[in-house]
Amino acid sequence: MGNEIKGLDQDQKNILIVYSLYSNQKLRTYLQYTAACALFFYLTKKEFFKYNLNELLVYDYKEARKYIWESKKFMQDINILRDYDLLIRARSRSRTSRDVNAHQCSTKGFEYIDLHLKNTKQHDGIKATLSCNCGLVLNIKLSDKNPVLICSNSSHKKKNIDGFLHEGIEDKTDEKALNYQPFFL
Amino acid sequence: MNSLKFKNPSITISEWFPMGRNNLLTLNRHLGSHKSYTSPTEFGMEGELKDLEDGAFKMLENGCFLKPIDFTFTGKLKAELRNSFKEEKAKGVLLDKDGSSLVGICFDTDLPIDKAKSVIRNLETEFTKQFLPLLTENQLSLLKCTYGVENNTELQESLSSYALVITESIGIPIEDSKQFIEDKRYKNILAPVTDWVIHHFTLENCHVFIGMKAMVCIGSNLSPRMIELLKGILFQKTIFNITLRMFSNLWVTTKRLTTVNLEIPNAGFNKLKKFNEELSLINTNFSREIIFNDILTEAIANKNNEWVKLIKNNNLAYLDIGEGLKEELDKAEERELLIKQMHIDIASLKDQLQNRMNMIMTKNGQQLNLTLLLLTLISVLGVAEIIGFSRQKTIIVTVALIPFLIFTVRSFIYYKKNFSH
Repeated sequence: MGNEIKGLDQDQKNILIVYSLYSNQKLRTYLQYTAACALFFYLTKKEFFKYNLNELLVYDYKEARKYIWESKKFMQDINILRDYDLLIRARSRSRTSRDVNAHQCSTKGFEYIDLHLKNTKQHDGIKATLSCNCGLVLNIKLSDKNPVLICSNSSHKKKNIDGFLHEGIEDKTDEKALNYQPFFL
Repeated sequence: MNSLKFKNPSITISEWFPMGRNNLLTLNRHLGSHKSYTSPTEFGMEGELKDLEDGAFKMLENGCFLKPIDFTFTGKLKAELRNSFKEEKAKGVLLDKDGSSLVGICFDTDLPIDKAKSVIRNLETEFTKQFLPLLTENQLSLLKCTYGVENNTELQESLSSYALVITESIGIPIEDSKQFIEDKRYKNILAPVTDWVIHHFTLENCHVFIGMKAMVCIGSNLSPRMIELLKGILFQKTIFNITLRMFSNLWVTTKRLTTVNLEIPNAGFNKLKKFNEELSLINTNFSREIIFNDILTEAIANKNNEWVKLIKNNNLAYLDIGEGLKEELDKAEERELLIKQMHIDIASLKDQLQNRMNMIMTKNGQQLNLTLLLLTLISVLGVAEIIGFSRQKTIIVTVALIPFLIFTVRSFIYYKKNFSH
């Protein structure tokens, strides 16, 4: 199983680093896909990724369907990592819904990080960005208004991820300017 | 004979679950069958994400890993099933909207017949363990009430399955199935796997022996028609076992209702309360069993249509392959009637129960009234004695108490008449 790793681009490597901070196959910990999107949106704003920040997707945000950020390139990168068995996709039950889409860094993913990514500038930079001053990796919480990075040691230290959630897409098209006719199928 | 082996066998375990198009669609959708992922998706982990606000979360146990091979959103799913992400060996899973659920493995070596039995047993256990967590709560509750069990662990052990072994040969030349099964030397050779062989036939150089627990097909290069035929028989035998269990469970419930009916007249209030709760539970379970029966009947009707076409188009009506699904449809109707009758019995029992409970409550009320009246009389006379009433005052008090006395006596007579045994 799993294709031979023929070289990952920097985005893909960075995705793996982020998943290694929040999930683990051996410990059966997973990262929700919505939360992952929020994290990567935040890190793209911090210039760790080159994703287009204007791409949106209608997706589950807790119990609601909302417009969230998701770059198609990011989605493809996830699948490439899956093809190499570095990342595992899982569907988990929650207390209120049947399926939550989630991923986790596989054992092979951790091995890849140890071999190729540990102590690199990107690795240390991402880890520092997603960590509190106390050294703990920040939790990602999907709060009602927006996702929040929060330290479990000192809950007052929050980083809001603004701009990730959209109530709706602003349609700037001027319908009056378009010339259309009635149509009957 | 002990050294007989199945040559390069495949083993398929068949189960039936209340599936339907919606559940299959959801499974396919969540699996991402349409996305042609090359890596499997983990499903059915034990535990749950308690708060959707938590971006990262932990599960209690790992699930199984499914990788779709072929699908139609609401019709079928063909997938590879693994115990762990990196497991080399995979099992083949075929699910369809009519609830037919098959899991299969094949060997490129020989398998002793006795060993095959334990392989089947292990495969059954493993499949139910892996597959049950994939079902929704609704599907599980239908299964639990139909099999008369309370939790998923009991359900895993209760599910009825049927197995199919396809093998190139068993090392004995076979002319036809009849000759083989009537030969005293070979008659019981397959029994460790099949249990009693009840039907058998030979078609396209394949010899099929249909037992109570499994069937064995001895032959190679099976034609698509032969495979369809085997699938049809597999479905029939699986349903046969399931409906047997369903009826058995209904019988147990009928027996319980009879016991309750006999015990109601002499039961105390607490026991009646327990009966009441039990009857409500049985009533709810019956409602679920009706739904289960309906889903099963529809699945049988669908498969029967396919079966009739297969038999008719290929002129296979002469084959000794059992009663077919028409019998199952008749049985489903009978079960429905039985469940309806039991619904009526429960309603009648509940009425009896209510009357008896009302009676006990009234009796208790009367007992209390009587006791209170007597206590009042004693108290009044006692107070009169303490205060030291004169004879005249005592007579006045006694006269004033006459209506109470009359009421007490009347209450006592009423109590004796209505409630004493």
